[in-house]
Amino acid sequence: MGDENRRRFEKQVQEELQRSIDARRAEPAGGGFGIAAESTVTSLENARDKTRDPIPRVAALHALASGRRNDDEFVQTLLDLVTDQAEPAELRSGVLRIIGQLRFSSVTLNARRPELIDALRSLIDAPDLAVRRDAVEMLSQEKDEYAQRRLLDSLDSGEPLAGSLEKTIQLLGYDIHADYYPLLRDIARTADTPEARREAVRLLAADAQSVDVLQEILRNRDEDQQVRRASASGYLSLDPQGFERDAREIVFDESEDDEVRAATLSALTHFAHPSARDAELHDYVDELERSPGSESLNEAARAYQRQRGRD
Amino acid sequence: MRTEVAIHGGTTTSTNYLTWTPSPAEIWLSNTEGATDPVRVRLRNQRPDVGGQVVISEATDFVASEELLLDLPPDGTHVPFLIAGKHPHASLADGDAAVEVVDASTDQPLSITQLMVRIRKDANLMTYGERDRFVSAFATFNGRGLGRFSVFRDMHRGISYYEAHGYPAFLSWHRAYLLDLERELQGIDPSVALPYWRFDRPAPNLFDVAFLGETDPFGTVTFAPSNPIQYWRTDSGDGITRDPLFDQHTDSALVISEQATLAYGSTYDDFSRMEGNPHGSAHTSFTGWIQNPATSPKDPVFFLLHCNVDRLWAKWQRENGRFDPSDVDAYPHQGQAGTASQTTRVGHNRLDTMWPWNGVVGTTGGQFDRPPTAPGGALTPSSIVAAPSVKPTVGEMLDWQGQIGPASGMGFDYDDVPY
Repeated sequence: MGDENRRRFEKQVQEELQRSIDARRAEPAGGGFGIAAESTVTSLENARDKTRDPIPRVAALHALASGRRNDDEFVQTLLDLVTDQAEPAELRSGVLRIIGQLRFSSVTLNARRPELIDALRSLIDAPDLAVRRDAVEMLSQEKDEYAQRRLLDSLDSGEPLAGSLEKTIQLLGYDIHADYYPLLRDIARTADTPEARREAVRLLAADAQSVDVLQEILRNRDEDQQVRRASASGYLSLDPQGFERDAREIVFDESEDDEVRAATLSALTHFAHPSARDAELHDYVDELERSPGSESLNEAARAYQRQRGRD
Repeated sequence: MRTEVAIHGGTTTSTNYLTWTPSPAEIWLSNTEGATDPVRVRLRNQRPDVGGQVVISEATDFVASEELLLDLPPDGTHVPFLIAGKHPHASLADGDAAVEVVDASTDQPLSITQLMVRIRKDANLMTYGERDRFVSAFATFNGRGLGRFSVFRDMHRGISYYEAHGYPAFLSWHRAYLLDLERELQGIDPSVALPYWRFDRPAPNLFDVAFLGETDPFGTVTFAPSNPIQYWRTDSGDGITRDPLFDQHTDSALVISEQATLAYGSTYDDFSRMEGNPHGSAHTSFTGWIQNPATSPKDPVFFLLHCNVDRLWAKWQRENGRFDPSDVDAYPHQGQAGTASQTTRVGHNRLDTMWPWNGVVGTTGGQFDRPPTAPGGALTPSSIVAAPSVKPTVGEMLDWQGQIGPASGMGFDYDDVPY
């Protein structure tokens, strides 16, 4: 199931749920829909009924979720459905979302965390990408060691577990380990897509050994601007003084990319030591604000002036 | 002859912030030039056509009016009155509201006090100026991961799950959490109020590169080069991961409507089902950090999402008259943990103080124990109100407008929830 199909499915589920709520509220008895939904015992049976269309099945589970969030039978039904390979992918994906919702509100589900982790691990090799990716992300959020290892192994194998190199790197970021950094430095320099290089750069921001790589990327005019801007963020964290020197040079350099100039000026505005906002920079930003430059640069100059008023 | 006005007991601009809730104020003659008789003055909303608007009332009973006549003793005795923002006319900028005092007989100006009607607003409808001030204050608060924001991130982790979720004080706990954060932001820029994300409507202006960012195809949030949120940093490193399962330009999140939420029922037990939908459903309308309780506060959208959850509670309270903490339909668990009247887990009974602001720690951090650490200390005090206490109880968080007791007002209001 592709991302667009998933969005369409979730939207249809939501519309079905809202229709059923509005219909209940329009009934002569009126009253709260939550109570009405809970009294409709057949809804859980309908949700389990494999002969029915996935949209009303998932909508029925949503209708029941608020009232039966701490009901063992309801929670068990969700775990059964999500691990049942005979169920359609969109239904399992929809049930994963309800499980995610219950993570916020169900004491019962949270008390059964080991079972939930087992269920999610069983989905790591699901043929459907959306189901697999969601399960890996939910496990990564729990800092699950198995999921992390599978993500890392998939990078070595060239078949990224989350479907793309970009997403797989991103998911590794939930529980970054020092031994990932050499691989990430390599990806930041050599990956084919700017998005993959950017994701690696985002994670390198926590690695003191990567400051030179980040500086090099920021100063590389041949690099994509989004990767350069991501490197500016990490470089600023790891070496604020070095960053300020480079950022000033970039801001003053009119042959530089305007987006990168605006982004580095924004960093000097909000995060640099006030001494970095000196008379020379004030004068230059005054000029920038008045000149018909790029919209980004003009906006960054205006933000600088607002901050200057507060300094 | 001159008059002086003090709002919230202060004579500096730091207290000149109003909500819809009546605020205590005083006026007195500061230079009487030999007068021996009381001087009749007229207080009035100075700019009825632009900016924030105010209403004024005698101190004894709040009856909102654009004007008020008061007799001021020549000896400088302070005369109390009440002042409030005039719903729905919130300020757009600091100091854009004003109360003018004139001599009632000559219309001679005696003083002008600039104010702000500082109200929590729909993030999608904020002006560029409001948006930019909020973004700047929030980015400063994050401080590249080194700011005090990290404490707020630590308050809402897996270890503190049962303090804030799955039990009845879910709404009270998050109201205190938001208020604490909002007051921190106001310490950076006092003109900022926490906006809300009305998740049952499309919010393209919120999910924009100039505000809280647009998501690229890989779930990484992108920002305009001038937006300081691009430098957001947490314990996961740089940037923000958030991937919507709905079209952020045209659709609402995957939640039930506001009307349906308010129709859950008229008792707290009924209404608290909203912890699942729309609250949980708003979180899981995305993949990424926001979809998990332990990682969600790393995304700044979290605070706007919860501001709307709190607004819905506020609306429900107003529609059903549920401000009184001693009303079991306003909050069902009236006891206190450790006493015979305890009815549910510690931290979720009306008289229980709430973690982490109470500083109480446990040993196991399990389902029925307090977490082993209490980050952040006491709740940040306000420059304009005394409530709630710095170690708030569950029950204290109910009467946010001071409907039951004027001293209970907490210094915030919503644009569509009048007093």
